[in-house]
Amino acid sequence: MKKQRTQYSSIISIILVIIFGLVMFSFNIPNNSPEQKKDGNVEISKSDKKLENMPIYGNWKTYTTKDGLPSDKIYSVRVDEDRVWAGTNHGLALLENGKWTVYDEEDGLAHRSVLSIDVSPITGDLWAATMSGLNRFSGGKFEKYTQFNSGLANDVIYSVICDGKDVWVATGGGAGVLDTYTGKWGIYTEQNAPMHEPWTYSICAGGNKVFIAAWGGGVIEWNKTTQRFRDYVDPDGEMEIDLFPDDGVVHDITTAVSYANDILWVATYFGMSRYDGTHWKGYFDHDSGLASNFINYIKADGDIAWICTDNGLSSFNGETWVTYQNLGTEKSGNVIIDGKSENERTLNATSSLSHNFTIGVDFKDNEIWVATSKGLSRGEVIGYTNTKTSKL
Amino acid sequence: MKKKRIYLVVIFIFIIGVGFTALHKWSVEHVIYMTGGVPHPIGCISCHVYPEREGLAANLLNEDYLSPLNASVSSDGSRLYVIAQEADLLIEVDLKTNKVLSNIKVGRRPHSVMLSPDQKIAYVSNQWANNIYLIDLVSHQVLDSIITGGGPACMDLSVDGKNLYVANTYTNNISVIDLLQKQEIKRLHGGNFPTGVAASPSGNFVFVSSQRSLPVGSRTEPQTEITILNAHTNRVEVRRNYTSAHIMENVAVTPDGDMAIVTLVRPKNLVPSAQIEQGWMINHGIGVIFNNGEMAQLLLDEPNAFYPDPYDVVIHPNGNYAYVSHSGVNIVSVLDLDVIRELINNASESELRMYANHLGLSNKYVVARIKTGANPKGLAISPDGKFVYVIERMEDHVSVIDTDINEVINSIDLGGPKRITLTRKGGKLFNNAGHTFHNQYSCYTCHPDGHEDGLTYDLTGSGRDFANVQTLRDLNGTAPFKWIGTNQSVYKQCGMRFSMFVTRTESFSPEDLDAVVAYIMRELTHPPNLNRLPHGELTEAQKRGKEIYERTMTTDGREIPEKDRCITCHNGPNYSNYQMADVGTLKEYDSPTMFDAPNLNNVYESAPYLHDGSAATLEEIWTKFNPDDQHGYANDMTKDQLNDLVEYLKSLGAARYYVEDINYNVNKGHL
Amino acid sequence: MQYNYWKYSLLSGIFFLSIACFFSACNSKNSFAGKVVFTQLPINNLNDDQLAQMDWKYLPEMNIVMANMESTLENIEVLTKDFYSARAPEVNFDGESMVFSGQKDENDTWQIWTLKFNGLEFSQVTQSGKDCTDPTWLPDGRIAFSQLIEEENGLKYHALFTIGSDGCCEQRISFQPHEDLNASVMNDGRIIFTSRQVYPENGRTKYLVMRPDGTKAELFYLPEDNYGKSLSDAVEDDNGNVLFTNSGRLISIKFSHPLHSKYDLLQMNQGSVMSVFPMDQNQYLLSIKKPTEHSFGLSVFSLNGNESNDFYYSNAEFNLVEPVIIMQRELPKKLPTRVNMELESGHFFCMNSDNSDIDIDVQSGETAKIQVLGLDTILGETAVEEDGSFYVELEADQPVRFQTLNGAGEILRGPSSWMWIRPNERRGCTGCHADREIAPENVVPKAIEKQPVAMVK
Repeated sequence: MKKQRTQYSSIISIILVIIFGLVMFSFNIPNNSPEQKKDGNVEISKSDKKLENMPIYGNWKTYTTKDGLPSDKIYSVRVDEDRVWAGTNHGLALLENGKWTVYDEEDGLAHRSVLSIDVSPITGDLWAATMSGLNRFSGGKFEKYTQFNSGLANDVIYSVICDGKDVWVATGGGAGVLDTYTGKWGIYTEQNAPMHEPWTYSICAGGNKVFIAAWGGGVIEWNKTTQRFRDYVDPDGEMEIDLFPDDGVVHDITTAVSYANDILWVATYFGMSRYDGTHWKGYFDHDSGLASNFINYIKADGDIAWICTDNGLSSFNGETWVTYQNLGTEKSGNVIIDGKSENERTLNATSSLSHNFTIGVDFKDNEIWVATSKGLSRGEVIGYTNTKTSKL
Repeated sequence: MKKKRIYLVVIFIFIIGVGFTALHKWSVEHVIYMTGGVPHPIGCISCHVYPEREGLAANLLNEDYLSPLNASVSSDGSRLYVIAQEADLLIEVDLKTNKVLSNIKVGRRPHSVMLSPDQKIAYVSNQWANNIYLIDLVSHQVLDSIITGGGPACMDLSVDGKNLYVANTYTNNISVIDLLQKQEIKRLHGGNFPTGVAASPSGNFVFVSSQRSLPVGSRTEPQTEITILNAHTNRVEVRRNYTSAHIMENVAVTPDGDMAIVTLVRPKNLVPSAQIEQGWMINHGIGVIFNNGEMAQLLLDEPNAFYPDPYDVVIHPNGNYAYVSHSGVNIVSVLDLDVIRELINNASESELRMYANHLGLSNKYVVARIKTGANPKGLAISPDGKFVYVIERMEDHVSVIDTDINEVINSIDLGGPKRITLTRKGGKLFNNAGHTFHNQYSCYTCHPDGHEDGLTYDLTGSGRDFANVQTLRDLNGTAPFKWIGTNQSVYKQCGMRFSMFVTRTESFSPEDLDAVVAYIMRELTHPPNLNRLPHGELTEAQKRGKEIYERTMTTDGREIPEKDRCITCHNGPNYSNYQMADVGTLKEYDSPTMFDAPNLNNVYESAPYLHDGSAATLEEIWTKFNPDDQHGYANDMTKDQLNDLVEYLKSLGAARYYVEDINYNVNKGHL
Repeated sequence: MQYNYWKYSLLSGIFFLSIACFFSACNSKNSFAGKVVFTQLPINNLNDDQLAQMDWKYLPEMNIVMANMESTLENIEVLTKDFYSARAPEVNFDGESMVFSGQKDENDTWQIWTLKFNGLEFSQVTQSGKDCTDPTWLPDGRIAFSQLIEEENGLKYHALFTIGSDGCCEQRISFQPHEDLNASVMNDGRIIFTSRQVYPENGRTKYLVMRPDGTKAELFYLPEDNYGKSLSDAVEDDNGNVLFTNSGRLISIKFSHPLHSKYDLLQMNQGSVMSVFPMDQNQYLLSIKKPTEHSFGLSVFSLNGNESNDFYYSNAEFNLVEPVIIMQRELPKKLPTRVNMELESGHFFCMNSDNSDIDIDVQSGETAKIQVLGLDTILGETAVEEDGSFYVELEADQPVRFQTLNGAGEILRGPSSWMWIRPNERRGCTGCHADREIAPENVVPKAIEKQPVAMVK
């Protein structure tokens, strides 16, 4: 009995030491500042660490109500060829040929708060997730799906994606899928899927799977081939810290998922995870270039994930971070490359995102569009991280 | 001994006399009851033999007609390919000799035929399935089939011949088929029950017309969509609605593409039906959509003469004339398109709104009314525009119109039975407006394809008690009729009160009533329900839904009172116990009453629901209109349970397709 | 032997009886078919103006005559020789009898009579104390006719009635201060008649149609002003044309499109026409006074206005008018009725009182109220709804008119034409004097969502 007590004490002590060490380490992130040249050109590549070729965006322009948007609170953005859709808290807006057109409830929009948008690459139909139903916008007309008139699980819809002929939604009452060919709805809740409650927050598809970010339930995966679910939860349970790094998704309160190039990216309010199908990797704002652990949205484009946080926009390709932050005005911002690392560089920019509270992002070619709580910002590629200089 | 024999004979005659008298008395009372007092000769055969579908008598009394629907002319004008819908045939006709060359077996209830640009292949849509057939026109064999959505109807080829666009009536979408790959490449969301398809000669657009209104809510005028596709991107370019119009069966585009014309019906379902005069019940005409987006509706009716059920429209190659078949009055109207162009181009917005209701305008642009045989449906025009071929569904004939003189010059016999049975006569009556005042509408007008038109009507003329039109399919054994269950037979349904409140003219004679009833009971059937698995099995969701449908306990283990169980009122082969019930669905504008439990076969295609059409979808029956569980105990269900129940309801169909039809396989339908 | 005698006698008797029955059945074939029946007006009984005004309804010494129609008339027989005066023959649809208006003795009132051709059997139908005229057969075997009404205030006019051919169940069916005359039945089963307002002022004569139960009376055709007020009864042929005469001109209008399809069938120099009857094969039997003649005779014309050379007949002593051919005709539709004589009111609604083709500038929404007028009283008024609709309960079988008022109570439009409602009738209009060729908008009028406002005394 005494021997057992001694053994337990030793284990607990080791654990405490490890925790202490981790905590201490998190305060010792080196702060590297770039040298600023007077003409605005900045020498970026300084350290001997090989930098991956990450694009750097600048020449930001912000659209607000002054430009025709119905609101400055932009929840979502979606680029569809030469058109840009913005979901705001006062309607759905379309930028086409330099002009904004606004659609609201009078036009058939289910609710003025448009939280998520997707456009089907097959049909060209736009799907809008709102606080009170789902809309299909096609041929200039809105069609509304609600929990009352259809098999939609719940009218509060946080996310919508088009996956072939299927439209998936993440709602406050479960995930749902509409087969647009047959009109059949499927609902997935804690009753028939490994969620512990039905509140789902985001959806993505890829690799013949559909991933659902379940609030408090980690990530739920639906395998289209086997027609089976499985889940990915934080092995640490409810702990507010990542006790064992890279053992799974960093937290169960997942807010967004995105899949590209066989990589699943998972956003939580407590950090980000990256999953290659075998290994998990967690990222936090204290030990990486992640702008903040409080992540609203994530979208992967090829190898690069774009992470919308409450403290700026980060991009990451698995090696290199580029983070964009507003310093208080649209004309001043920071571009932080490889933050929290010995290679960290901060570039002062003369244009920036309109606000650090970023909620959505989309891109096409050399353009990026960022939904923030104070407007919709558009940037363009002005350089790459592996070039010597870059003009901001 | 002789006396005894005489006594026996007398007693025998007496007994026979008494028996006959009693039987006769009972028969008279029975007929009076069943017909609702409509004078009708005593004849058991009327009700008990003619309407039967099976049996020796039914087989002897009836014939298998061809019932042609649509057709296509070959590009050299030498051949006509006719769809014989009820015979599942494609009929090839030599237009030089006007003789049938061959009958080619195709799929179930074919709807339309298109010829490939090289004229070697015919594409045939099988409406009671989910595919089209490719027919080799040399060997007359089915080469292949291509999966589409449910209920493929009209089709058209893209100008370059690479794509085929198919309207899928049951699944409300449009298949885009790549003919090189012989595969459907996408399915675009269409209007409600899309039927007509026409590609513009410019190659830029494809027009798809719909039969039914979009969900608009109670006491709101119908809105029916014409979907315009971008033929380059194969996406929906724009959706336009025709207001207060529906049953847009077909569409055609002028050769120079300046306008598309769609046939349509303009119901006055919201107008209190106090009268029928002055077009107060239903009008008929065309919709026009110009390439600048301007839309208009014009009537083909006249103030005291109506031309109901415009079905098909074809346009002369010179672009100056259009031909419209009116299947309710056996007429083809010839329209001067230049007059229409000028009329609309010079009209203001308010004038265009007025034109849509103007019965006196048609004499400006209707240049001829050509009499045809019974029930003219599809039209085909020869490539040189010299002839218009009129498919006469109830004649098994094709009339040939010479467009120079606008007269029928020939009739082609497709080879159907020559005997006109009582049922066939009933079909002609059903599809003809002769029994309504001024021919304003036929039975088909509110019951297209024997179904219902998806609208609610103010038949009492009081602004109250709007009634949702009910299907006429598979009525055998489903009495009583009407939402309030007051009609114990179809004889009564179509009898004197029908003429007082609906047709507003002389009621059917007993012979005609027999014929119409025989047709309704025998010939009008639901199509197979394609929501099931290929061999008629239920999907997992449907099985779960069936359990819920048949449940006797709530989700938390309490017993559901028998009266509140779905299975109580909706049981049996037609899912109805034919009893009256109060399901708590009366609204502000309804008089107190109970309702007869409606049949649920093919309920998936009967939106909107409830007696007043207030439930746009099946879900709304319980999410909006069942707060007190009076229409079945449902408020304890989770949303996914409700979804499963709805999935099961959508699978309900006539049992005969899944039990008797052993050939029901994947080629014949599943979504 | 005796037994055989009785047997053979019985058999013979049966045989001859059968033969007799057979031949008597043969004789039941209508032997009058093809004959013409017409009214003979003594030439001196009225002048040309009276003739032109069709004012011969109650003239003395008129006769109804029957004759064979060959190249001229032969075997002319006066059918009503026992009558002081008779006119307006109309043959029943089965061709076996006719109805007419007759004055038995000089001091009698004019009543409606029937005559069975076979046996020349007369039967009096009406027993009214007032003059009855212009009878016409209805498809259900009843008869519609006009009867003189004399109001207490001295107003005199004719109203339409129906009655069984046995004299049963006389019922008035028109209720307006109009001269409603010259009724005939169209193929759709409705009665068409001439109607001219007489109170409070005289109006233009026009053709109205209505159902035989007196419901749904509406304008069918309004002749142009310069044609005066003398209209004959209208007849419908098998080609969808409705023909009538108007001050001597023979007019054809399309049944399907009556208001705007008028066509003069004859040139002025062909003569003045008084009556028309459609025959077979696009031919018409006319009562016509040719320019060279002094009296109206009978002639056959075709639809293109050409006179047949095969037939003409005239008589220097008489004007021959109102010809009809004895023949079987297809029965018009028997229209059902919802009139319930146990009730005392009916309902009327208007979809939008702003909808009008009267050329008075009224802004949309300016109409605030409608006022319902009786013969000499205001029966009531009610506000119109925001969509311009109104819904009222009216006392049945009483003439009413409407006028629209603005918010200040000033009259905007009206009064309208007279109309009436039959017991249990529901009637609607698209507007106030709206274009009759325009069908209603497909909306639920707001007024109908409430109870009707009672305009009942």
